[in-house]
Amino acid sequence: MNTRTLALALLAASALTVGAVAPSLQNTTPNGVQRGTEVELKFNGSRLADAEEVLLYEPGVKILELKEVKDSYVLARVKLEADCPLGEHKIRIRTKTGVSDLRTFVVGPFPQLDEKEPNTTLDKAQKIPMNSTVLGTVSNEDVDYYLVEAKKGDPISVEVEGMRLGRTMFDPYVAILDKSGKVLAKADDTALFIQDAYATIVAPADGEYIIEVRETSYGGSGNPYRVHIGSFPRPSAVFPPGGKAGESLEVKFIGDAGGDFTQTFSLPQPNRFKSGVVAERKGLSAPSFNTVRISPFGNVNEKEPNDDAKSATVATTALPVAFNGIINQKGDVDWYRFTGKKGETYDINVYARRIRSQLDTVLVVADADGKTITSNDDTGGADSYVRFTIPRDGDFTLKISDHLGYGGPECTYRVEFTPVLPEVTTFIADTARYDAQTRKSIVVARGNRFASLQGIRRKDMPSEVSDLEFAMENFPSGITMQAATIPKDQTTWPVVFEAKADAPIAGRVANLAIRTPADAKVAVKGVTWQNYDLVQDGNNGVYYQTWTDKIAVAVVDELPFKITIEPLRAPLVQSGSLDVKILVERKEGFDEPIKVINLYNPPGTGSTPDITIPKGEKSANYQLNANLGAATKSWKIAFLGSATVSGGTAYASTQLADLEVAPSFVGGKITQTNTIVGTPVKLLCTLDQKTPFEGRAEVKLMGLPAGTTAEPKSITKDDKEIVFDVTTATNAVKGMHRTLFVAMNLKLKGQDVTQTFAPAGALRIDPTRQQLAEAKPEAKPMQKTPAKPGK
Amino acid sequence: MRTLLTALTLVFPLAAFAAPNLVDVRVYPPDINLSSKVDIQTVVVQAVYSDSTTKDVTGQAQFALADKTFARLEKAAIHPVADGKTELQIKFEGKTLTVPVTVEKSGFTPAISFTLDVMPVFSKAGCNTGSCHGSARGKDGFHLSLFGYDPDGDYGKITRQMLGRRVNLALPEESLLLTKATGSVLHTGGKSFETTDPLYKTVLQWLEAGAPEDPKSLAQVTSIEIFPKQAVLEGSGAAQQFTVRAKYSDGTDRDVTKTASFVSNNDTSAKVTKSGLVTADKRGEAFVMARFDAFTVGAQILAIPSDAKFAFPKVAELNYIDTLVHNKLKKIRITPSEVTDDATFLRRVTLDIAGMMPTPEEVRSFLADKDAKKREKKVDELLERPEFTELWVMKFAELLQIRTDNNTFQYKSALQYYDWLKDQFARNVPIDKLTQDLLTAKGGTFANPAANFYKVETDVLKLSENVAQVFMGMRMQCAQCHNHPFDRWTMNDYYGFAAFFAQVGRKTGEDQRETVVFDRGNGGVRHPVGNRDIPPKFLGMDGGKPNEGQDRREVMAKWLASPQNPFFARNLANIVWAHFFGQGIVEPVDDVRISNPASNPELLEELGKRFTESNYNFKKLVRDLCASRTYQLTPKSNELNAEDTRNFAKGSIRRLRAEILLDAITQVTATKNKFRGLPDGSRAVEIVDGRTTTYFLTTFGRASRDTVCACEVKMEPNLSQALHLLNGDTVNSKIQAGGLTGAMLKEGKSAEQIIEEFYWRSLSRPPTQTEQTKLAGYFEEAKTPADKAVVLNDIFWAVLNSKEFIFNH
Repeated sequence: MNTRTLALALLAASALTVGAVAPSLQNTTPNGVQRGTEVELKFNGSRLADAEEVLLYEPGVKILELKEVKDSYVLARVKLEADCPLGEHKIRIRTKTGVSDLRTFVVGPFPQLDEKEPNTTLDKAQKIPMNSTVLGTVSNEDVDYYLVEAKKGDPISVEVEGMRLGRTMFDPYVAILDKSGKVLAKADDTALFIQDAYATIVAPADGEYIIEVRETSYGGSGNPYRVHIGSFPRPSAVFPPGGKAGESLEVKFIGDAGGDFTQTFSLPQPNRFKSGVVAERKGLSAPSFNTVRISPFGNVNEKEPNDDAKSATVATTALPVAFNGIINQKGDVDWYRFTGKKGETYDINVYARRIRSQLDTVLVVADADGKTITSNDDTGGADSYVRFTIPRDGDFTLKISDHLGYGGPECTYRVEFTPVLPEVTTFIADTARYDAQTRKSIVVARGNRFASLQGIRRKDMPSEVSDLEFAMENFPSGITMQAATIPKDQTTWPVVFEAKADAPIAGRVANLAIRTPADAKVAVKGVTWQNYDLVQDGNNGVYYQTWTDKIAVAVVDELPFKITIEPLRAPLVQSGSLDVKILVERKEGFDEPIKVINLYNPPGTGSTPDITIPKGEKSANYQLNANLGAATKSWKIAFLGSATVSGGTAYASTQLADLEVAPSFVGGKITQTNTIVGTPVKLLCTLDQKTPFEGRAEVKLMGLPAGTTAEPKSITKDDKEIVFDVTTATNAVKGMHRTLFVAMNLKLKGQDVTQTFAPAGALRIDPTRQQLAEAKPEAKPMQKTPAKPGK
Repeated sequence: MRTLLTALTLVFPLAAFAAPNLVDVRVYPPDINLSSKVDIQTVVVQAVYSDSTTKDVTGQAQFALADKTFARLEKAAIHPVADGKTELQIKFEGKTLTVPVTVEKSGFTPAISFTLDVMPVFSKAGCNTGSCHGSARGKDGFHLSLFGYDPDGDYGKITRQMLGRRVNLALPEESLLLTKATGSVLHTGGKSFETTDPLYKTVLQWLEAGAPEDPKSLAQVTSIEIFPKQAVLEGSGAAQQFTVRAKYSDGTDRDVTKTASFVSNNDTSAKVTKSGLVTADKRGEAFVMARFDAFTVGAQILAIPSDAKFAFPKVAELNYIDTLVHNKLKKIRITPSEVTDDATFLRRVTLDIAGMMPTPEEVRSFLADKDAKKREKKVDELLERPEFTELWVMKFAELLQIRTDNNTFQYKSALQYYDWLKDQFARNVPIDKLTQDLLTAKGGTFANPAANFYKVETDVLKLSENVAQVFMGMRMQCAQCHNHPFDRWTMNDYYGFAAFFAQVGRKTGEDQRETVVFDRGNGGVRHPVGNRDIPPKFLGMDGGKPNEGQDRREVMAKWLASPQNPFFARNLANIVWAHFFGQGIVEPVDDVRISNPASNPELLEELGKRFTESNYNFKKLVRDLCASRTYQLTPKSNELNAEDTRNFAKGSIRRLRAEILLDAITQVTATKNKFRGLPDGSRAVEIVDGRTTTYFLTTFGRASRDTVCACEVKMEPNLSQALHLLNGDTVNSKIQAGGLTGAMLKEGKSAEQIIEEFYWRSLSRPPTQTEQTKLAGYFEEAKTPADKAVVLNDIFWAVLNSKEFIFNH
C-alpha cells in the first residue's frame, strides 16, 4: 500500500521543471472504475503540468473536467456511461508540448473498495460485501484474505485481474475457502485469462467464506490487483463461440458453478479487436467478457455423435461457413462434412486457444471417406490452420481433435473457412528492447517536422499490387505528410510529418492508413495495427500486450531547434560512401547537443546508428555507405533529431530527402607483386572504367602493411591502369598481405564522393637472402625416428 | 588345481569337529549338456548342515555314471564319449543324487571362434580393462574395447592394424599378440600368461587357423550362471570351488569356469583364485563375482569363525522382519542388542516418522501409558500426522530434483510440482500409480505438474538413467559407453531402455514458463557401436515392444511400476528401510548391482513382496518396520555384534539430517523460520526448491537436488557443522529469539524447573541427578534474574550442542 505513495513522492521529486515536453504517464489511481458512475481518476506520471486533455481509445468514457493539473499528476472528473464496455480502456495524456505513454485502466461492473492490511491470516480476513471489487496489493510474499457471507445455494464467484492490468509481472492465484481454511475451489492459471484466475462455487451452507489472493508462488513485491468477489456468473466458455455479424446469437454459457445458462446477443460488425459477450444472471454481470468471433458467414454447430467420417456433422450451406463444436470428453474427435467447388481456396482456421479454450487442436482435412488430404497441429500458437484448395467438386470432411487427448464440456472451438483476402497493416516497431512506448505516437511541433519509420505487414497481397502509400485519416488540422510510394519489397518506410507554424495545438486518436494508390487496379486498404507489450519479463517474454488500430497524433508547441539535410547533389555509389550534412538551427538560448539517427537505410546501404551534433556546432556529417550490390535507384531518406528540452526528449526531423544510389565509377584488380624488404616496388592496378566521371579523382592504395607506403595518384575516366610506387622499410612486416585495395575520392558537384575498388590485392614481402640464412637453423644430422613400440 | 582343491577340502572338514547334522546335499549344475567333442562339465557338490554352514564335498562324494558308453568321468569332470543320454550319480554320507547327462555331436570339433574363445582370453588375462588396452585411448598403440563390448571392433584392431606384426599368420608364435602377452617381447603390462597356459593355446590355435572372422550365424552368449549361489564357510581356510556355466543362443551351454574371471569384493573374508576357488579367512561377508562375455554373476560367501558354543538367544520375533534378520544373524553367529527404553523409542520414532521432536507432554504421557501396545499405537498416530507426508514429499522432491534453474525451471513450476507431489502423498496415492502418472505425464506443466518430470531433465539418456536410478535403484551410467563390468547391464540394455524416452516431445506453452510434454510418436536412440536404432526393451527381461502408435512411455511405466518388475518394490522398500535404519539393505540405496548385493537378500525380497501385496501402501510398510523388534534395538552393542555394521543387530546412531535438525532447533526454541517463496513459519522440510537454502542447511549437507543421487544428502559430521552450532548464528540467535527463558522466569519457574524443561524439550528426558548437581553449580555466581537468564540460556545452548540432541539414537 505504501509503495504507491512512495512512488508518487519519487515521481514528484524527479520532475525538475514544469511544463516539459515528453510527458510520461505511469498509471491511474484507482487502476479501475465502476461503470455507470462519475468518479475522480488520477493520472500519475511526470512532466504533466501542461496537460490539456486525455486521449481515449474506447467509447463509454467521458472526461468531464481536468480538476487539477500538476507536474506529477492530472486529476480528472470522469463519467463512465452505464453501457460503457467492460474491461480495458487505453488512454494517453496530451499536453501542450507532447503526448504521453499509452496506459490502461479497467472498467468493471461493481462498487470498488480498497484492501486493508493486515489481512494476511485467515483470522484477519477483511470483511467485504458481496459483488464488490477490491483494489489490492501484494507486497513482498504477501497473502491477502477477504471474508464474505453467503447463504446455502448462493453462487460465490471470484475473478482476479493481475496481468490484465498491464502494469507489472504479476501472476495471481485465487482460492475460495470455508471458514476453517479448507480449500473449496482454487485457480492459478486459466484457459480463459492465461495467468489471471477465477473460481466459482455454490455455497454448501449458510455462513462465512474466505477468498485468498496471492502471487502464484508466494512472490510479489507491491503488485496491484483487482479482485471481483460476488455471486455474479463467471462462465469459462461460451457456445457457439462465434456468429454472423449483425445477427442475433443465442449462446450457452458453460462452466459456472451455478450451472449453464443461455443468453441472446446481437452481434456487431467485425473488427480487428477481440470481441466478446458478457454473461449476465439475475441482473449481475460477469466482470469481463467471454470471447466470440464475428464473421461474415453463418454457423454450423456440431451434432454428436460425429466421431467418424460417416457420422460427420454436415454443413447444409455452401462455403464459407463456420463449424462450432466442443471436444466434450477425453479422446473425443469431431467430424464435419462440407461440399466444395474445385479450385476454390480457403483458409481453414481453427479458433480454440485464440478464443481462450484450453484445447490444443489438430486439424485434418480429408476426403468424403475420411482419408487424410492434409493436416496441421500448430501454426503460430496452439491453434491449427491450413490453406486448402479444393481439388475437385464434391464432399470433403474435416476432423478436429486435441493434441494431448484433452476434453471437457468447456473445450469449445470454431473452424472458420475464409476466402483468401489480401491484408496490409502498418505499425511502429519497438525502438529498443523492453521499450514498448518510445515514439509510438506522431507528435509534430508547430513549424517543425517529425518522422516515423513505419513497419508494413502484408499478407496475401495480389501480384497486381506493386506499390502502397500512406494516408492520413482524422489527423489534426495543419499537419501535412511527406512519403514516397512504398515498393513491394520494403517492410519499413520513412514518413515525415510537418506542422504549419500556425497549426492549432491539438491532439487526436487518428488512423494512419496504408493503401493502394487511387489509380490502382486492385484496391487494398489497411489500417494501423499497433502492439503495446505492456508486461514483459525474462528473455523477450511478453506476458501481456494490447493492441490499437489508432495512432495518437498531436500538434504541439514549437521546439527550440530544427534540423535539415543539405540537399544531396552527388550520388552514393556502390562500394562507396557519401557524407550527408545535417544542419541544425537553434533558437536563441538553446544549445543542447542533438542526437541524430538515420531512420531508414535503403537496401544495400548502411550507416552508424547515430551521431551527435555537439553544443555550439551548426552541422555534422552523417556518413552513408553502400555495398557493391546496393540497388541503384532513387530513395527517400529522413533523419530524426532529438534533444533534451526542459528535461524531456523532444524530436524533430529533417525533410524527406532524395538519395541516389548509383553504380560505381571504376572497378579494378591489383596484380600480385613480390618484393624484398627495403626494396621499392611498382604495384600495378588495372582499371575497369564503368561510369565516366568529370575531372581527376585521387586514388590511394589502402590496407598496406606496416613499414610500407605508397604515394597517392590520380586518375581520369580514360586511364586504364595505375602504378603505385610502394616503398618498403627494412623492418616492413614480412609475408603475404592480401589486404590491399584502392580508395578513390572524387569531387562531384562540390561534394566528396568516395569509392573503393580492387579489393583483396596481394603484396608479398620477402626477407633478404642474408636474413633468410640467419633465420635458417643449422642443419641437424638426420635423426632416425625411434620405432614406435608396436604391438 | 583340482588336486589342491581336493587336498583343501579333505583337510578342513576334519578340522570342523563336532559338525552338526547334514541337512542337504546339492549338486551343481543341475543338468549336464555336452555338445561337442571338446565339451566338458565340472561338477560341484555342496553339503548343507543344520547350523546353516556349508561345505564343498566334491572331493568326498562318490561319482558314478549310469552308462559309460556316452560319457566318461575324470575326477569331477564329465567328458563326452558318444551321443546319448545317461545319468550321473553322486553319493555322499548316505545321500544319493542324480544329474541327467546329455551328449550331442560328440564327434564334432567346433572351429575356434574369436568371440566365443579368444575374446574371453582378453577378459580373463585382464587385457581389456580400463587400466590396460581397454582405456579410451588404448595402451601403447593397442586399443581394445573396454571389457570387450565391441568384438567386431576388436577383431579389426587385432587383425588389421600393424599387419604382420601384431598378428603374424606365417609364424603365429611370433605374433606380438602372443609374444607381448608372454613377456618374451617387452610389455608394459608384464607377463599375462605362460606359453603353457590354456589361454595361450587358445589364441595360438586361433592364429594357426588363420585368425578367422566369426560367421554371422555364430551363437551368442545369452546368460551365465555361477554355482553354488551361497556358501557359509566355517573357520578360516574353509574352501569352496565355484563353477560357471554360459548359455548360448543356440541352446547349448559350456563350462566356462576356466575362462571366466573371478573377483571377490572382500579379500579379508574370502579370497578367490583365478580358477574360482574361494577360501574363507576372517569373519565377514564377501561377494564373489564371475565375469564372462558381457555378463557378471555373483555368489554370497559368509565366513564365520568356528564356534561350536554359539547359541542364538531366545528373543522375541515381533514380525517377519525380525525372523529374517535373526535368520541371518544366526548364520553369521551374532546376537542382537536389547530393546531400547520408551523415551528413546519415542524420540527415535517421532524423529523418523514425523521429522520432529516429541513435545515434553507427549513424552510424559507416553511414559505414563501402561498399554502394552503403546508403541504400535504411537506409530499409528504419527503416521496420520501431516509431517509424515511432508517428510516423504521432501525425500521424493530430492529424487525428482525439484529445483529452480535459471530461465528453464521457474519457481512457479517448482512449487506446482511440489504441491502435486504433496497432494499425492496426502491422498495416499499408491506409489505405483504415482510413478506411472509421472512417467506417462503429458500436457502443460502448469495444467499437469507431473509433466515437470520431463522438464527437469530433457536429455533422453540422462532421463533414462535417472528413471533407473530413482525407481529401480540402479546406476546405468557405465553402460552408456561399455558393458557394465560389475553388473549385468550391456550397452544394448542401456539403449534399449533409453529408447522408451526417445519419443518425448516438448514445446513451450502459452506462458513461456510452461512446457507442454507430448508423445511425438517418432524418434529413437542409436547404439554408438554400429549406429543402429535400438528398439525399446525392459531392463533385465524381454518385452516392452509397444504397438504402433502407442506411447512408449505407457508400456514402460506399466511394467516399471508393477510386480513384473522385480526391482521396483524392492528399491522403494529399501529406500524406506534406509530411512529408518540409517542404511539400506542394499547400501547405497541407489546402487543396486550384482557386485553390491543386499546384506540380507531374503529380507529385501520379503519387504518388496509385501510392499507389492499391500498395493504399495507406504504407511503399512513403515508400520511393519517400526513394529519390528529390530527397529527398537538399543544402539548399545554386545560382545558379538560390536563389529557388525550391516546386519541390523543393534540400533543405529544417525546425525539428524539438515532440515530435520534445523526444524528441531526451531521447535525446541519455539521460533519460526522464513524461507523464500513459502509462508512465514514453514518448516525446512517443506522447502520447495532445491536452490533455497541457508548457511545452516548447506553446512549440514542439504541436497541441492542437482542429481538424483542418494549421495546428495550428506550425513557425515564435520568440523564446520560443530563450529556452526557452537558459534554460528542459528542456535544462539534462536535461543534469544524464542525467549523461552525469559517467559519461564516470568512465570516464576525455578532454575531447576527451567533446566528440566530444556531437557524434556530437547532430549525427551529429565536431567540425571549428576547433571542436576553439576548444573546447579553454575548459579552460584548468578544473583540477579538477568544473570540467571544468561546462565540458563547458556545451559540451553549447551544442551542443543550435545551429541544427544544432534543425533537420533
